[in-house]
Amino acid sequence: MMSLAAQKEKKIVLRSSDGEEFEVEVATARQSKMISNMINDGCVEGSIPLFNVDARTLAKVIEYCRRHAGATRILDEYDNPNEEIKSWDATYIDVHQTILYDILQAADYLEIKDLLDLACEQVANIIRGKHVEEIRNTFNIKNDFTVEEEKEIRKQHPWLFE
Amino acid sequence: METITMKRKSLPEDVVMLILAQLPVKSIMRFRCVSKQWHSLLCSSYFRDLHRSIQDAKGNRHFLISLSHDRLDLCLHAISEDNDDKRPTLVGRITNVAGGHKARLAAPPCEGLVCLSVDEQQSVIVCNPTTREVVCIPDATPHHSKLFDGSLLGLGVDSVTKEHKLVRLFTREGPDSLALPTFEECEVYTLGSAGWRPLGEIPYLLSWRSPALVNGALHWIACAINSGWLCIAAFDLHEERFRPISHPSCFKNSLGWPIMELLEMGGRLCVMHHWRVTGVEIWVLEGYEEGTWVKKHSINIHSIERYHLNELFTHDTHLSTIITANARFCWLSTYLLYTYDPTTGTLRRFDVQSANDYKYCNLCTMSLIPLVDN
Repeated sequence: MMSLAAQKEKKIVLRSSDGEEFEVEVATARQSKMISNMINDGCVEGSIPLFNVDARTLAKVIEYCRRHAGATRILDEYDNPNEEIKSWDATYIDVHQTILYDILQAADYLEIKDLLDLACEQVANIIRGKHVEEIRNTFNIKNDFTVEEEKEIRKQHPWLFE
Repeated sequence: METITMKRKSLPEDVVMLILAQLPVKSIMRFRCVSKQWHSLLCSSYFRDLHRSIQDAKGNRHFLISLSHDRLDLCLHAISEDNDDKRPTLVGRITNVAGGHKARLAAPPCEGLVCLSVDEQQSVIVCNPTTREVVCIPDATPHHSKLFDGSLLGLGVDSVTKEHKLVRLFTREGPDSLALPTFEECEVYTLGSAGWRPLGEIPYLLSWRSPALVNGALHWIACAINSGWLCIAAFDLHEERFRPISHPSCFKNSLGWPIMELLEMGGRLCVMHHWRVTGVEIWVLEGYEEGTWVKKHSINIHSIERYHLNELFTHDTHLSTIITANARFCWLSTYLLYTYDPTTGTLRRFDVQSANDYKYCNLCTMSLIPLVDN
């Protein structure tokens, strides 16, 4: 195990799916559980290729990791995330839906749990009031209920569709 | 452009589940008709548990339930956990919850399920206010249907089978307007099963106060029939047997039935002892097996105003103490709602006369537990 000071100095290189290279501090990279495991296993010589994350998304994800690695106190004395980080997160995730879904997939792939939670919550806020048909479009889902079946389910709880 | 990006790669199922588990119950239930796959995902017990843990972490799973003034509707109030000054606000209403009959809250809610009794029909219903599902419980066994039924029930979960069970109390004495009712017979019903199972006579007289669910057992303040001493009777919901557990020292000097309630706080059993003048003492059972009771809080009511003593000590006063998610105490005496924050020692009082929608209320949790097959 490296000392914290040594981790801060040492940098590693991440390569996006479209070939762009990003030099990041180890502490930042370790926000990703996947990369953290690779560092522990000693397989970070040269650059780490990330086939599922493009440069635009990776830059955005690194911005998050850098902020969260740099925050000395993420939790306050009651174990709640502190207000400063919370408002930073809110501004950070307030992005166009295209970028939001890219972040979501990258956070899942790179195993950055806090970022995944943040992005999931943001998507949930966007879709919570939507109609069933809008959800099918958003998630690209084919309705495989027959007209009668769907009618029957809707009939059970009419208050849901008010 | 946006949808093209979305369609380029569809999200993995576990990410979709994580997103949906963030949603309020109304959206989740609506999205069950998106597709057959979403229907089975959103009805699964895996999703139910995921939703519960995420909503728990957000701390927004609790609301108040009460009956409307005419006792026909079940009302749901949002409570502000951070701000006691903010009155509960009505967020939902299930009209004619008992099919147009007057209902009564008959047991403290358990895992988001609410038990109501319909006095004029001597029947019992169970409702999940979150999903608005209601089921009628079968009638009592013929032997018990002849006995006086205080419509007092206990609702809990079998710690082994995870089934929800109801315990209904009966007395042979019949209603007596002077004496407070006590109960010496009971029967048990497993939710979803065909009928009640009588347990015969029990070695206790159980008090009319609501039971508390702790450690897989319902607890009543009781009187042991052989000794006549005041005690706490625990009913293990798996073994379906009563046994005595230790009680705090405030039980020793009590003559008759004291103004005490049993409550659950953070998985522990508490005794809330309402004193005549000084106020309220709260005892906590620190070690369940060892039986170590500790007096944790002493709340001086007298210091802020005269506690409505006459009302409080009459028979028909409904005294109902609830503990909110962040361990604040709220209790109701006639037209007054008290809240107490043990961490700061702040006691507040609200006049609820104008809005007695929540005169008889309890804290309930948001829950996706189904009562009928989907």
